[in-house]
Amino acid sequence: MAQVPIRESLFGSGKVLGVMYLACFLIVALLVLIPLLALVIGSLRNAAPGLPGSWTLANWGGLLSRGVIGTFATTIGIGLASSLASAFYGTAIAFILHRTDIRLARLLAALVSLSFFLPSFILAMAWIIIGSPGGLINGLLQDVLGIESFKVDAYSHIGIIFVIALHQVPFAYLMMRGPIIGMDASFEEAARASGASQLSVLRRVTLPLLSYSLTSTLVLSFILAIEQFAIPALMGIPGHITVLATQMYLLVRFPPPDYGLAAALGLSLSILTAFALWLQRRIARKNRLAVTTGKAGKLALVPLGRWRWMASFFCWSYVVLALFLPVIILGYVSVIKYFNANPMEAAYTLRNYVFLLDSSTTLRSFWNTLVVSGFGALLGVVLATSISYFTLRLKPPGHTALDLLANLPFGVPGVVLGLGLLWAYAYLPVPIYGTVTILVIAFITRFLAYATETIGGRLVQIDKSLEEAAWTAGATRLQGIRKVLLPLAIPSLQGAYFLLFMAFFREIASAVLLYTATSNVLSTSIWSSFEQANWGLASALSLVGMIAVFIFMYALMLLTRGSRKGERSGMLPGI
Amino acid sequence: MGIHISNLVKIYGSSTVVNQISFDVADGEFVTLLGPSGCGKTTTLRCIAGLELADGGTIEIDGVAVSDRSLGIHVGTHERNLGMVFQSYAIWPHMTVASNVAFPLQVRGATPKAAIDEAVRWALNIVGLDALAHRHPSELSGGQQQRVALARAIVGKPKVLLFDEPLSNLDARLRDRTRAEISRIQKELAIPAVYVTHDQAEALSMSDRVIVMSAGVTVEEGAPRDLYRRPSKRFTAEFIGAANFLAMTWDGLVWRTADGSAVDIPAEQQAVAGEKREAVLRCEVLRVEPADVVLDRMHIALRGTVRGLQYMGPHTEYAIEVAGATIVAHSQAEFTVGNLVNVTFRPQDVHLLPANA
Repeated sequence: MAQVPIRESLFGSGKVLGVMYLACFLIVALLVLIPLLALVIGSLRNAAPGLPGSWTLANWGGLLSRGVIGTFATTIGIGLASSLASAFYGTAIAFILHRTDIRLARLLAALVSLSFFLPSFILAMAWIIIGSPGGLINGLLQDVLGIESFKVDAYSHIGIIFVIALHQVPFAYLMMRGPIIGMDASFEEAARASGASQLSVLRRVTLPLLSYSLTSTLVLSFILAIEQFAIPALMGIPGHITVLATQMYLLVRFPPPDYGLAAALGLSLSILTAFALWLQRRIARKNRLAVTTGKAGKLALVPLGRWRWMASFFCWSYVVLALFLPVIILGYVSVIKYFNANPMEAAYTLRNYVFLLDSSTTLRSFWNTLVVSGFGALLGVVLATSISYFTLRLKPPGHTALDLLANLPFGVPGVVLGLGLLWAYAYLPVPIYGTVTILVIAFITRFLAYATETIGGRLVQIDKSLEEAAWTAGATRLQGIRKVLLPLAIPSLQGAYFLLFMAFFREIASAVLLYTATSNVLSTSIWSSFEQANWGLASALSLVGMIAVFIFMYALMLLTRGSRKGERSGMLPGI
Repeated sequence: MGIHISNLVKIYGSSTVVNQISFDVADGEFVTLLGPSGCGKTTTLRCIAGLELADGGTIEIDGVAVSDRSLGIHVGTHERNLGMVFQSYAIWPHMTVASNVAFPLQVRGATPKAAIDEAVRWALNIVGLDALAHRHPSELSGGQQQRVALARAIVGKPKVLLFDEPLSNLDARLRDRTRAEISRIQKELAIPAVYVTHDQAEALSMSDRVIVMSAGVTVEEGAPRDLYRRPSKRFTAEFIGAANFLAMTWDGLVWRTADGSAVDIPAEQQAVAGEKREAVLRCEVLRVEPADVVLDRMHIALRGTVRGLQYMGPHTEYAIEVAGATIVAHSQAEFTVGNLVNVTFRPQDVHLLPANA
């Protein structure tokens, strides 16, 4: 045993960790602060990025113009309506699937979860094909049934709210599922023992107990709805309905561009989401104090009796509208020559699929997707693991700042982030604009908090004494991390990787201002095909892309399953 | 050479959790830190392990300073050559029993594979788990996990064994068995041990010496028998075992209780007339007899009234009003509330606390 000087500064032991911490801090700070600072500066300038100009407050003043205030109102209105609808529908589905004796509950649960992975822009495309003025429903009404007086229009407020709600139901379902399944059975049993009927148990005990989770779900759904870009862009722009996210896009994309106003809009949208997020965190924290005590017992299933068919109809109709119908429609549109609402009269072709294989652009976009999602997600997981370790375990000086930085992009909508990066790399002498690198940067920044949440959630469950036992057994900090902490955290790293991979694959909002012909990924290829009104190619790309991704993820799951043997959760002491 | 700790200080924010603690542990000695939760005993142990950075004082293990603030010395936990058993066992769930036990040798890297296997077998044999070497921790009971933790702590023949309330998660019967086993193994290996607990039974039955702690300072230390029978502090008498306290006054000839009853005990020391002291009476030395029974001259008797009772099985616990105080006595005899009784005890079973207790 050598006498060594105190290393109470930063790290307790080892310079390697110190260097890692500084590197991690620096990377996160650069990732997050560069686009945000660019936005702040941009909102105070009167010229486009990279051009000489002067300082001004006119952009912020521009927020008070009539058009912008109208956009704010539309954004909040659409956000409220669609989040209420999705929270209601998602909670109802979660309740029916997990607390009643509905048939095929597990299949339904799997299908609802699966629809979570259907990208918003693909869902919007499908519903445009179904419900736009020249779409399927109107075609059927006119050509097949001969009805002229009634038409549906997906390019409307109702259409946008409907598709956003459809898109977010699985999110609300997944949020509510945990609290509904994990509720302490003794709360309900106590109510029943006190003489309450099934219905009053539900009304006076179960729902009030879930109210925190429900509020929290509602707020998060609202955030997702107001920062939703793809659906209001595809469905709102043709019908002249603008929300904040699409207005920003229009201001930047179409001449004459007004970058300053776009930046001011983006920042105010970020402030709105950040406020809602702060509210949600507060609610969630109170919730933890309120009901997460006690063991999860066996909850009694509510017998549906003669209402069962209605509950089944309720759940299956969601799966049909959000998953089956869109996929079938995309499949149909991808194999017809010209758009025709009547499948009996349509001319069929495989040319879209042939084109996919022939076109070097689409092949490149597949390759780019693999790089961006596959490799980018890996980088994201490495970064998120380091952040979680430093903020939750080692807690060196400044770790709260690191935590705050990593969570900051959570409140920044995708298009806003895209604009910030666009602006920043127009100034900075780093030639990454128009490359896949900037997409990787954008995606990691945007979804970093998802990964740290997943990994951190696991790390806090791993009892501190497991690591301490390694140190007392003679392991250095690094050995403790490698031999004890990481092996125990592996499932969460895999989970985070899957999450990031899917998020990167389906992301369009932050990519839409950053992609170019050479850095096209699948989502942007589909997007631009659809923008060029090439519905068939967009549909074919969507289907092939989704199938490829599911095969890739499945293969990955099979590969990693072997490594999970011997791992038994619930075996961690201190829980 | 053991462990030598002097003036250890640990401060969290504005509260001094460990305040100038000093003690030694001789080679092969088993020393227990005993105290209520929050008394600083676990923090002291964690400072010895190097899991906490001491704010003052020195810690020496086997003659080497591992912590000395004034000299700027803080040897990392992994370099202190310890064996530690945690309250939560801290058995790594992703490793088998054998790899858990092999870890301390593998991670230090100096031992060849065959010797590691041999050492693991030896350690598992000592704790009686030879047959379970290839199981996963999830397949073990709490008691078995505890023994894996013990095997892991001893496998590297450490300079010191540290125990952080290792039995508190076990059920009562298993606790008794494991207690005996830890004692036996520690004696066999003759490794100095520091054991932290709030359980007096563990402290009394296992230790060569007990250090009673409260609010970050040492209250008293001594061999288990001395601490129990002749505590020099009221806190010790209260914390270890069930004790009754009677206020007594020396009238120049004999000690008298508050109501004037004489308690004729051998004078240990010269007392000044009018001096007040407290007498400690353990519940189990008291006998409760009907008031009309003829008194035995070998015993001191105090007249009292039964105020409450709880039937406990082996005995009944009586709360009896005696000499202006309520004392608790255990008896197999049957009385009811309101009965007049004599509480009797032998003179040598009375312990007078020192004046400054």
